[in-house]
Amino acid sequence: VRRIQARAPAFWLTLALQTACASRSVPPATGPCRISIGQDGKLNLVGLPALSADGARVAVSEPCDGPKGSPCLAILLFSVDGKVQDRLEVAGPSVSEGQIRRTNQLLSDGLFAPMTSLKLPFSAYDLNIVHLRVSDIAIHYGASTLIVDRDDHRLATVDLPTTVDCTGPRIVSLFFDDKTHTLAAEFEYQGVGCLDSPPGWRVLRFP
Amino acid sequence: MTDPPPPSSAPATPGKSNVWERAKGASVPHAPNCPNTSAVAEDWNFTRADYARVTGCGQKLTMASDSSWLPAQLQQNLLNTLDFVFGPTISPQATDGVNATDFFHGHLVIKKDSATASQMNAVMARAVRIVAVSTGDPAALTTARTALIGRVVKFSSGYPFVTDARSSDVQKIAGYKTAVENVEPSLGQVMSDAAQIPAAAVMYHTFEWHSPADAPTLDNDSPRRCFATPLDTNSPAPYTLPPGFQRYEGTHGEYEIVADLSFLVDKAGAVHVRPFDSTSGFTSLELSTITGAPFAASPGFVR
Repeated sequence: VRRIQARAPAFWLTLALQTACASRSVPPATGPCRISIGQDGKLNLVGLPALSADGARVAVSEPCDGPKGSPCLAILLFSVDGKVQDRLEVAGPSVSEGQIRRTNQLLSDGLFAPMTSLKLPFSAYDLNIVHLRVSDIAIHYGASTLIVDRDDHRLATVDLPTTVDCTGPRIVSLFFDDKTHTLAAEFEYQGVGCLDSPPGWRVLRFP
Repeated sequence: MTDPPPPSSAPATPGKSNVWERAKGASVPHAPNCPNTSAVAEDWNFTRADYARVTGCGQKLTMASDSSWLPAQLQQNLLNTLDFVFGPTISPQATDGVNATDFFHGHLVIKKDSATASQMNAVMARAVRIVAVSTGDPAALTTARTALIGRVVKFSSGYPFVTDARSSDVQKIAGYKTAVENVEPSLGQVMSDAAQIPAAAVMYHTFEWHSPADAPTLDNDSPRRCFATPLDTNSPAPYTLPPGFQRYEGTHGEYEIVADLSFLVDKAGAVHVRPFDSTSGFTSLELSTITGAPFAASPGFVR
């Protein structure tokens, strides 16, 4: 949310990212993960990032820059091997109701459910370093590397790219699904000259 | 995340560190009414009780002799901030103590202003060359560290201060201490120059690796853990993020960071300061050059 505000202070999207949603039995129109347009015309996102019921896909929202630098918002669908399967741009210069309907249908059909947001330590904000334990795993981030360990065994390593024009990657948020051992991590690249930053989201599955 | 108790952040072999620093004459003279602290076990966790013990007899915190590289203006800045953070005007308490998981560092920052941008950029570039970026210059701290350890120090490659065929943990720390001392004069000069730029300050942070027991979800921006001490006045105050800013520093922040410093306080009330480089993903490497010992990992704190 902060990043969108930063990129375009007058941006008309309001993102209400909520992780506490109803169960998966909720009908599509009011599903646990959905996009809607409020009475004020603003866009609301609920329950993202989310994991599909079959555990095969993760949906995240990502601010983007459209033509001529106008802000936009896209929904990315990752497979759990970290590859982007689909990208649905739901808002650009105007809201695309058709894309919103399509995205909601997709989230509904896949019975997507919100992933659990992990509270990052203050060191993430201050020093861009994270060391935290959740369930039986340890998640570490620092020096542009994300690591997942269990009992001193390395389960996953992601080396994030750095660029000359952008500072970062700064870790922004972490979301976890304990049952499937799926992690979604959001990173941020900044800088006045940072016009073509690397992808902000990383999705990984570990044993 | 489990809050690590302060003792878990203490050096793995605190007894060794006592010998290290005291042998180098780091303890400070005692005021006549103060108890002799030589019998107090050094755990490198200077608590509120320690502060009360030291200052309660009329003694003040002092700078240790190993920290004379820090410009006088910044020395006073740090001493004033320690007195403020430990002092009676702060409520609720702003720190559990000076140790490797709570209160151990500050950022020398300059408020962004187009009028001083070129000066700011110049000192930032000088500081980065000295400390954070491995340019291949043998004088750079990270280059020296790589040579000392035998590989680039990065947390994903493991903690560097371990005993192996190359050398013992203590020997590696001693070698790194020399590397740190080699860059201190030049970094001190950069800090001194930066301090002359208008709106320079030091931003101090407490509760770095854990939140206070009475506020487990303390906000990142909370003025309870953020203290700004302008270098023109050296008068500390809790820092509240002004409207329109998302962070205190960086692209969307009020300030830019020029250089970082880390510190510990011994039981006699002497403040030991080092440069601070967290680009490796470790936050205690320079602190080990104060204690002379490696730090133990604990939940939420991986050295």
